[in-house]
Amino acid sequence: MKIDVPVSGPMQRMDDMDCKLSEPWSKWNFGSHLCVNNMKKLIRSAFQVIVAFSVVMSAYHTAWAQRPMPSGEQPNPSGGSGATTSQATAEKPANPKPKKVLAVVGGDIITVTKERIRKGTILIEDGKIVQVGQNIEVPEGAEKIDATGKVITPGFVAISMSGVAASFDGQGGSLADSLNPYDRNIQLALGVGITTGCIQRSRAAGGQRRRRAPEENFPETNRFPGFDPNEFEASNFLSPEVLMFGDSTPLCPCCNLPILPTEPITPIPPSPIVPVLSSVIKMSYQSLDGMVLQEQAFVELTPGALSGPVNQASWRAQLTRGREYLKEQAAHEQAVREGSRANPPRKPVSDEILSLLKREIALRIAGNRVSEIRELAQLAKEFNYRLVVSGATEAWVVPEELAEAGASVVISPRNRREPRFGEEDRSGSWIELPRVLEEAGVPFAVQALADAPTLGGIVGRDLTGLPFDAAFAVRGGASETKALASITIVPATMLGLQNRIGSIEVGKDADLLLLDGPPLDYRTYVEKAIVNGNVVYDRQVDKVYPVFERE
Amino acid sequence: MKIANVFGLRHSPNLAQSCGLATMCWLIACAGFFSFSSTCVAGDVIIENVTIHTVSEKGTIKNGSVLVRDGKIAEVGEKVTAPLTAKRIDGSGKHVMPGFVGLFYPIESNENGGGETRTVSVGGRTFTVPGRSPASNLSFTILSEKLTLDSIDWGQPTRLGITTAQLIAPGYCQTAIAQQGKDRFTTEYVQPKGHLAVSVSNSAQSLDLLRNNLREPSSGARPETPQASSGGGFRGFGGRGGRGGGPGGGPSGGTPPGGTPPANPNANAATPSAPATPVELTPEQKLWKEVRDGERALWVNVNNAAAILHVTKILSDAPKTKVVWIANGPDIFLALNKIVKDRSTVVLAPQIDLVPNSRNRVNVPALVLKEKIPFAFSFGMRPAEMSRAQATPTFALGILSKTGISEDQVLRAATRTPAELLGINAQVGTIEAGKKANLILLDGSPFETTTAIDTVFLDGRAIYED
Repeated sequence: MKIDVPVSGPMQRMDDMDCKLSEPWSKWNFGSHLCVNNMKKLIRSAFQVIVAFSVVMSAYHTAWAQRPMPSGEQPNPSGGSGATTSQATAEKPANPKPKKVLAVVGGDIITVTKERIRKGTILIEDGKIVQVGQNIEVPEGAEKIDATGKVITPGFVAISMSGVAASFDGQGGSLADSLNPYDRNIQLALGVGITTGCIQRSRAAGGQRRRRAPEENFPETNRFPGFDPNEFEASNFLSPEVLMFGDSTPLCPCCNLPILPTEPITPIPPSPIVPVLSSVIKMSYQSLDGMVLQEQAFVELTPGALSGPVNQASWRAQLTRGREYLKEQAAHEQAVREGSRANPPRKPVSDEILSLLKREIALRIAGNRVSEIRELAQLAKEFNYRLVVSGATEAWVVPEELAEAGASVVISPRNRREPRFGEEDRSGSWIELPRVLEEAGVPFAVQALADAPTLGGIVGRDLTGLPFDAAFAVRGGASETKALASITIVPATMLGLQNRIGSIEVGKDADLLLLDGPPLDYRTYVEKAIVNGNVVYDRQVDKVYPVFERE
Repeated sequence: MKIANVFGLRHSPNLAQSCGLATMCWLIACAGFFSFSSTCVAGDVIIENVTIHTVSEKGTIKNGSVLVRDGKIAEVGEKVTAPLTAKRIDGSGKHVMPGFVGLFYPIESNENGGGETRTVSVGGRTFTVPGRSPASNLSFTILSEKLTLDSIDWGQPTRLGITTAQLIAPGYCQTAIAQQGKDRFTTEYVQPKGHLAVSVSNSAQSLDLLRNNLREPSSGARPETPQASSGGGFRGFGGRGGRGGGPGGGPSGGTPPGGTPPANPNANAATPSAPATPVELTPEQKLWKEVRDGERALWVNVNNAAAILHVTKILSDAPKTKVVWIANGPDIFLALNKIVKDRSTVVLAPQIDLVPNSRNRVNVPALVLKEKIPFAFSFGMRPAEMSRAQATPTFALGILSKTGISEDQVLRAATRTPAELLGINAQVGTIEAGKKANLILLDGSPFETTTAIDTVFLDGRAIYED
């Protein structure tokens, strides 16, 4: 049989089909039946002919149905070596039709912001959720996804992500041009449920190794008994990199990643106020449409930008000028409405500062020590802006001050830091930080121990460990609800996107996960991920995580 | 392969050495009787009793003859009368096809090696590698002005059956179409001024180059007078001018951002200086204008699949522009359904590719064909391929024709379509009377994977013999 449709897995498939076709023919021995002069046998042989013919036809039919499709819609009949896998999703996102209706039926819906809906239906039109509930009629022609026995949650939001879906030259180039919707890391992120991420576009902050200030309260001799710094020959013990950069963070000899420090947190030396640019992007795999959610996610400053009296004074001055400008501008607008022709006031600060003062955007800055957190909360309270403290290791000491300032925090529940010498009861990390925050009413988001998909794997220092890091918040005493919120609605709110992502509600973007178990369980797999109403990840098709089915 | 048959040997690449030796012996032995040799040009040559793949409307001619006179094909057909003095080559059992037209023959530029480094991101981690990214070298080069004619060794492409090649500089250039000259170390232009070729990745720098130049020029832009001497074909663009600067960002300065010159300077009312004299466009600006008007295709060498999406997006603002995509199979596989069908041609390496991130194989040209997107093959897109496939280029054609593309289409994509893309189809690409006698004599069918090259003719000269 000659097949001249494009073949992708070429030889093997044609051989398969040849076998299927030749088998029935070889069973049907025409000659032996003709020479028998028996009516019964003749009928039987006629019957055999019919059976054989129908077998041939059905074999042909199967062969035709299973003919290699370039679009990859057909699973490979021979199992594992499916020739065209990832293209199945390739054709889904582009949809020329004006209204695309998708119904996710029969799942256990965890809405995050409202109560749980058992065996519910979610109706999606053009990428937005239009109906959620139990008794919803699925309209004619709607594409149906059966979610019976599955748990449905909103897509997770990685509040800190890097190395996914975009490549930057470090100069903070155009976001739209840097997007790579075919990035393999998108699949890895979708596979653990991350549908939205906040990526840093300039390298100024986060993950940078910096020189730590000497710790007066905690001399080296106290940390390492018998250790005399005067006789210490550094080059014998430290790598050239560490010597050169003066970093106390050792690097893993295998992967060259900094090994997470566990020593007490030292104060961050003041650094110039440098804005950092982060953007929010969606994991719309294989499609540029709807990928950029927000060009600027935060007013973001480098760690240490607000520490020290000089920095704080300069920050205060900027905010005061901004506040005065806003007042002047309001007065000017009022005057213009009344017919005045006065010139508008000159803008003394950047637009970001003004949006910050108008609470349109939040300030994100690292703060780990009690004193730093206290100062940041004080400033936020004074100028009434939205504050997001990332790190927040010692926030369990001052939860009330954070709550009073209306601040929220980004934590890594698995982060471990020793207490400072002599301050054991009020410094260092504490596993119960999530519980303390929850009780004080401080919203917390969870970030993974690393921002990028690294070689750490889901329980290592890897972005793909995000759901497990949230699960560790439960271990630390937070409720399951708050732990799930910490990777959905809370980071969405921090980004100012609470009306678009972070929960399953009517009017929001259809970013959903179909899970085969509870969202924070280590056994759970993401079966399907839907972004903007398109299925962008399917565990069975994409094969980036194991594909077995549990009994 | 006469001698090989006498000894009962079946020719295969492994036996190339012994065959070469045998051919030498044969040549020495027959020198007195048969004066065919690689350096002989004068007189007519006729290849007889050969299967001719004309790749034209005539199709395949079995037992035909090709008469070559003065480097051109004089006659093709079943019955060809040749003068008695003509040299006769017996082609019984052999096949003859047009020489390959290589569409992408990258020329390394030594100007990029100046100790520069770039970072590449692999799996979320960054590495520093030497050299500049091809997509970041955005100074315009007219290749034929920079190239010295003895800098290319044609040995390798010739062994692969490539008789004509489009030379492309990294980054952003006007290509040159060339062939081997009198020996393998000399180059001869078929067309010194070729097409506009750009390397593109998903970065603002390279995409802005397309965006600024494909947009119809705004009426506010002041046309720039051509710069006589700006570094021998290099014009200050991109690197110095930065983003937002058009080709006008040269040393003269003062050009408005996005400043491609207006298509019709006379109609430019905003120009304060006397608009009566039409301003002459620089070669670079002329090329872009032709690309915008669809008179000439833009050759885009895409770095990754995402770049295809980005360029496609830009193309939606340039409705007339036609694009030739130089891409690798897996990237085309990913972005196939996003390519603008009616304005695109895809240039692929003739090979079976792997589906990205898997071990599964796929015949990408067949998928492209099914989408009804025109495509062409280019042999030797990478130097490694060239050495791997030398003397047996039909291996790739054989595999492809057996896995989803018809034999006719395979041959056409390797010879005729490339010639048409380059605009030199009046000279090369098919075996027809009047065309250059660029021929490949094969010892078997071009669709058999075991076939090897017997002789390569360029302008009627045998430039390579196995």
